Amino acid sequence: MNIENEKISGRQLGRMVFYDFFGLTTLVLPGYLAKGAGMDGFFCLVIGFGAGYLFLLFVLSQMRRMEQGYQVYLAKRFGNILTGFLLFCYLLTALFGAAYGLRMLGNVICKYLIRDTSMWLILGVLTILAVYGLSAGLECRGRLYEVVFWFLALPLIILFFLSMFSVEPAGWLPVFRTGGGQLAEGSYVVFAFLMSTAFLPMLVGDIAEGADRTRVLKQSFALGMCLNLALFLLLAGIFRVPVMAVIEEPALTLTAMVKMPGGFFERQDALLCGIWFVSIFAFVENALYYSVYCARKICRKREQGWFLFGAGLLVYVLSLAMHYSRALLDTLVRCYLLTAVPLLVIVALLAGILPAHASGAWWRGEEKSIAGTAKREEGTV
Amino acid sequence: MNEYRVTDSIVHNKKVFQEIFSDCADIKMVDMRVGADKQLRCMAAYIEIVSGAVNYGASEIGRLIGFLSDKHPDEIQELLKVNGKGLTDVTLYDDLKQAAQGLLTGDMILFVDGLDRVLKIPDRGYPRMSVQQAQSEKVIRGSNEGFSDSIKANTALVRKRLRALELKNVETQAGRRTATLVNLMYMEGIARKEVLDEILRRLGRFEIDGVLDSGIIEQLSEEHWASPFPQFQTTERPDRAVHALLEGRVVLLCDNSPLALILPTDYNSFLQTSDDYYNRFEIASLERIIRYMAAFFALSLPGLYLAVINFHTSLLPTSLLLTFAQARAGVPFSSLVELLLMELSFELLREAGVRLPGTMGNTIGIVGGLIIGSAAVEAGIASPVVVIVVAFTALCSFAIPNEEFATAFRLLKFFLIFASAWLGFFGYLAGMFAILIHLSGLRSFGVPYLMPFAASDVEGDAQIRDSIFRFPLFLLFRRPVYAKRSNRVRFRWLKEENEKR
Repeated sequence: MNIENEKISGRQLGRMVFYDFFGLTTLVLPGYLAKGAGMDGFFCLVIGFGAGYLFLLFVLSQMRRMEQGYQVYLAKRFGNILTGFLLFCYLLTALFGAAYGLRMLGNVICKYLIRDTSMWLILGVLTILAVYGLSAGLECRGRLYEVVFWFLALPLIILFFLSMFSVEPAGWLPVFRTGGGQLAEGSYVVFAFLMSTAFLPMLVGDIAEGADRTRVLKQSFALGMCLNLALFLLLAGIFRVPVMAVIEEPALTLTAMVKMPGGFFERQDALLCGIWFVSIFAFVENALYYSVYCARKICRKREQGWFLFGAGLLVYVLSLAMHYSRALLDTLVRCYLLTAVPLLVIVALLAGILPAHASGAWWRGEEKSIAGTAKREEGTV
Repeated sequence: MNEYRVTDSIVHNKKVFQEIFSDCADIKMVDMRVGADKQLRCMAAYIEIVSGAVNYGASEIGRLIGFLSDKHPDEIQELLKVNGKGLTDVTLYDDLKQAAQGLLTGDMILFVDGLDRVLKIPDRGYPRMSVQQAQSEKVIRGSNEGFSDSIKANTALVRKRLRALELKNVETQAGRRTATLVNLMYMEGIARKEVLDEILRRLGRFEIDGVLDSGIIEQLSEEHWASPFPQFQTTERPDRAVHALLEGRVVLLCDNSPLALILPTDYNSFLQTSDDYYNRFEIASLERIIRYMAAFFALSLPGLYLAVINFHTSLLPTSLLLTFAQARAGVPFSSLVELLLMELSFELLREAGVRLPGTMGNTIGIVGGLIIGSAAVEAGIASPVVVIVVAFTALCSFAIPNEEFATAFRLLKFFLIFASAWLGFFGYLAGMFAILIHLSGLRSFGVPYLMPFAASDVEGDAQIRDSIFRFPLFLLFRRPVYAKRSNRVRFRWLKEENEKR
């Protein structure tokens, strides 16, 4: 039939990926940057997003060479065994990303929506929902995030517009008070939050032909960057940097303070929480999708059923563990920042530089098994 | 030898026919003699009431007998073989089983001695309702004609409005015992061939004893059988069906059903009405916005109310919160039980209103709602706020133009009520997200259910002009995604006007 191709359009891709650049960054970064770099956090954002943008451009330039899939692209450059290992690293990183996002989302829900509910229940509901969303397929997720985009964008525009009037520009000063080390650290953290870019090649076979993926991904990234910068300025102008540094999620605190005209709602933080709910949930789903992708490719299987179940369970357990053990969370975050991020960047850069010397046929073997399955199914019917 | 083969002996044919219709008191077989000197033996078989005006000139059979009255037997047989009288819709059978099936379509079967064929001659047909006013899709502007129970009348109503040579009508049957006629109407050159092939494939993949309404075909041909959302659009308005045909969709008509099925369909189509296109675009757009809001509130309002009342009271201004608290004072139940009681009462009233005859049904809906609502408040069973919430929700569900679609919202409303009662606004969000995931995965004959809000960029976004807002007609110059890609233009200014513009 006409639109049953299991591929996503350019706009769907752009909107789906946009949440990766918006949800967690706007929730975590303003407070973190204000604490570490003060008002210079703004420049950390600029530098971090700038570096992220360059990395995105590099990844996009490489995506043209990945027509046979990311795993084949890697295998041609690194060989079969190393590709398997790299995919395993990607898998671990994606699982960590999904669990971290899930834990953050659970925290937000626990803090702003239902205070006295246990975390295992909240995370359980979210995991089931994420697994359900993934089981419906990528095309379905593409449509979902395309549709909810404006449900998010409109309240966000209203929020930005209404809070604009409370901004005091004096709060944006002083600047350039931070040392180079802190500026670099802040910028690196911002860059690390944009590492979903490294996973974009995994979507290469799922994008409809003719879709201008370069344009939409650049637009999504630019929109994410603008919103982050605007939000940081808004928060600094309203709360001032010292206060921002002590509030854990200043963006959500802002939603509680904005007064809607009409007087029907006293405060709307619970309602506007929905913006971050959708954004972070989309991030979790994307990370979970990447982890399932890696697991499937490592095992050279087409079906995602058990992988999805396993990944969901792992993410659930890991997010719960991170919630109850701060030490574990800190260790994993450190591992991510010091090991995973450099690895992802180096792999992407090396793959771009190294010439393709192997055939990568072993990784293409999966396609043969798909054809075999189809034939068998045909025979039984 | 085939025992049902028609022979030239009327005695044998009659015997076999009587065996086929043994114990059928409503099947009448009348012997007669026709021709010069009344020498030729004939027999007319028909269903009582359905036929029977043999002796009157008003019927085809009456006219035929009159015509044959002075003819020689040999001449009569020749004339009947070549339809010498020029009767309309005469069918010759050489198999008595087929002739029996022909009789069951409501026509008369004529046996003639010496003729190795039997004739099916059209007559009054089965009793049926005449063309009715559309009951559930009322419009302020536009025709009020609605489909009737007869498939032939329904196809004629469509043809009356769409006098195009490209309008095709494929006839098939469904139901092993009922042999119900099913017609698939489409515009050649506009409708996608794959959609037609797909519905024919789906109709051919099941065997059922009886098809008594298009609803049975609908359920057996759906792709996602567990979904509460309908994947066929239903209409009882011929103009709506014609509109769909012009959009490149396929219209399925089923005998004995006043509802036509339209396929493919999407979420947006269910919130459109016929008079959206007959009214000016501003008012049509306003009505569409209201309908979209109504759909949202019909689904969400009770859930949101519970979430706010039970979990997020800080959202409300203090004065409103106090009013709510005051209204709830003395109510012995939890807000969930209170809301469910009132929702179930309204559902009960709606059901009773539908089952009761005409004016009584309307009365019970309004009066019952008022009485039960105010009585419940006075008795302290429910607070006035809950009555308002439930009544407003019911009102919103009535504003959804398609009954099947509205039913999905009524059903899912309870899902959101429980989710919100359990986990507050988080439960509401999770429930809503689950519904959206389901809707995103839903397709109707390959068309995503959320078109044109999703995936429409592939098709150039033209369809978005006819969604929440209804753009002026001259801007709706392209057919929606249902139509063939090569035949999408449905409006253009003529050359002179185009130059002026």
